[in-house]
Amino acid sequence: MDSDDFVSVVGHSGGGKSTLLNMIAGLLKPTSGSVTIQDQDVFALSDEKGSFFRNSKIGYVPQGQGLLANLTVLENVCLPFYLFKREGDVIPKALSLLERMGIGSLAASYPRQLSGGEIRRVSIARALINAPALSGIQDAS
Amino acid sequence: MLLSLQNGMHSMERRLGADLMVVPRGYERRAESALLRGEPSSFYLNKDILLKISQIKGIEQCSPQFFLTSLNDACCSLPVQMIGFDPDTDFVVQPWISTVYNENLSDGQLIVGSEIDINHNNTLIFFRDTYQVAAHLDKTATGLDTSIFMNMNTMRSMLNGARGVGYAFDSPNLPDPDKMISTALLRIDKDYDLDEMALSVLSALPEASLAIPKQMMRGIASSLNALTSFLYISVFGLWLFAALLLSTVFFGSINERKKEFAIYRVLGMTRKKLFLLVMNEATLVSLFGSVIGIVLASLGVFPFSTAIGDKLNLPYINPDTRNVLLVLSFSLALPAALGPLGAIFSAFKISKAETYLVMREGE
Repeated sequence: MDSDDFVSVVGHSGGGKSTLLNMIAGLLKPTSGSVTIQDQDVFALSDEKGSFFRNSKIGYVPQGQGLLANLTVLENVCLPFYLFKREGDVIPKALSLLERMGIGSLAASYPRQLSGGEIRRVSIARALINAPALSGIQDAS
Repeated sequence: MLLSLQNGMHSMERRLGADLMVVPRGYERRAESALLRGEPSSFYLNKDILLKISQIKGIEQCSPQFFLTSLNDACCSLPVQMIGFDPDTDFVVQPWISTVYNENLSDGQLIVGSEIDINHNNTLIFFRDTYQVAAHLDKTATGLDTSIFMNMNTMRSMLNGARGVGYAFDSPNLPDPDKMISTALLRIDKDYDLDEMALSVLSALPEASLAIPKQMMRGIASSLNALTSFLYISVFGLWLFAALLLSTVFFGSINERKKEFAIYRVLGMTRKKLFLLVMNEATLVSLFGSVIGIVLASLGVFPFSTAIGDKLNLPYINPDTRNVLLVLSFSLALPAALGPLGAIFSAFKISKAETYLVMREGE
């Protein structure tokens, strides 16, 4: 895949779509072969480096409820930024992402107050907060 | 509680400084009640017994005391045990009076036990006469806390006052400190055996009987030992139970929140950070719980220490601030360590879990 490519993986249930996406996200090690993103073998990295790689290069939107219930929408979106030491203020960017998703007014809400669709949009904003090289959305329908 | 009981015991050991107490025959129990429980009591022996005692080999020191009980009447501030001692021979009362009052006790002055309330003028009225209170003694958790001490001259004034209000003495002879005593406190030479000396004194003084403070102490000590052993075992059992409970609670809680932890991993949290996150949370929860426990326990123990001591029927004195702080620190530190220890297995397990498998569980 090249930069700016948009790829959909379609297949029948149990066909391995989620498995593939989780491998690309660095969450599931393939039994054979490798996953290379920007010339970096994702599974050749240590846990520390692999986690940072996943945090900064991969934006992953898991299936279902993937938000932390005790954090607000804004805090959920900012969380990936805070997991590693970074310079700057992430909040304006997070608010901007929420505006682009059409849920700017929900920044102070908690996940339990959101509908399923709103939760998905918050998850997407969170996946984009660190400007990843690759974004993967599971079950994007 | 354990420290309070041990404090009470040590205080009692220090205060009951005589090896033997010579009392009139049949009055051993009353002497014990007066000393341990502060039950007002007066009984008398002829003073010539002191001469007989001085002839017994192995007696290192001997000091007489004279007891009088005040009245629960308008003439007296309160009904208490009053103890007159001889300042020239006393080896029991003065050493601990000196901890609160450095000067010699003058005629007309009183030293009062910790539980005796006095008015703002520092005076008490007995048999219609007013006496100056020189000092309050520290708490002993014994009958001495409700006793009043004075020299023999003050005791003579008290007796005169008592006669003036028509006090009915239960002794066949009118008590007179110049002719009678209530008890002779004896200290045995360290080269002599206490039990053998007790027999010698009894055979030399057929009109008298003995109260043996160390035996009183032994009775209390055995009650205390049984209680402290029970408390130590209970405390150990409770800690063990708490450790197991914490471990189970953390295991259940972490297991229930494993999807939440998996999300952290998805977002890029390292296994080490995840482990530390869980451990920090366990430490904070444990610290918070121990603070609540300490506050509740303090509210239950400190305001009701007198009632607890009365219920236990054992000497009970709250520990000093330093020891209280030590116990509080220990009570804070142990749960703070137990909580994370209980959570360590679950934290390790969740940090090593395969994120993909956890995320897919239940789908």
